[in-house]
Amino acid sequence: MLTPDQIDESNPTRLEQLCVEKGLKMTEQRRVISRVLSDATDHPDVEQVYRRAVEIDPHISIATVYRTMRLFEEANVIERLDFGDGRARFEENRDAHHHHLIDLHTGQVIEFASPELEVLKEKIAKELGYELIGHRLELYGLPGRKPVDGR
Amino acid sequence: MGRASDSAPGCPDRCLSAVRRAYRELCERGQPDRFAFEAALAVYQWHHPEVETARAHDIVLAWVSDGVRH
Repeated sequence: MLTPDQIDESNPTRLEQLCVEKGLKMTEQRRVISRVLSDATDHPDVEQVYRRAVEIDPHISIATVYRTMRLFEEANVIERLDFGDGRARFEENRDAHHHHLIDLHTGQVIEFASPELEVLKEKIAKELGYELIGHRLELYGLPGRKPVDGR
Repeated sequence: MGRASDSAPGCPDRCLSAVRRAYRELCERGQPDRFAFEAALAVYQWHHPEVETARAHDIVLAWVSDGVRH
């Protein structure tokens, strides 16, 4: 189990780097919480993050975890997920901002990301006089209709 | 095309599998249940455009609910 002293500040996780890029000051406790989130292979809720963080740094309070999670969410470095069980769960935003294409034949869900699309949706909202807050997009398709040889 | 003639509405065929898969995979990716359901409904309606929406809704609800035991 990690302790705060064992967190290597010279080797930040991607989430820590993202926080810094977003201008967040990385205190020791924020670093611990970001490590917990980076190491998570599940989708922990706030209380689970708190329990894991306390194992690293017993001085972290649940209030600090709530505040930090909210801060991370507002900075878009973590994503809030809804599994329909009434608990907000989180994962590192692996920029993973992505969309889904659904194969109508099989129901397979294919994740994709498109920087062009991200730019376009911001542009559309701006042209309509809005700041984009959110969006929802799913594509539905059939296999075998992709252009061949890039044509 | 023959897509609508693949099966009668509600029959457990390729459509059932596709509907459940779309729903399950979207839920697994953390999509809200309502979004996953609407996607599953869209898959169903592609397979069965002849089925009216309210009926399609009921069929898909039964199919995805059957796959999720609470």
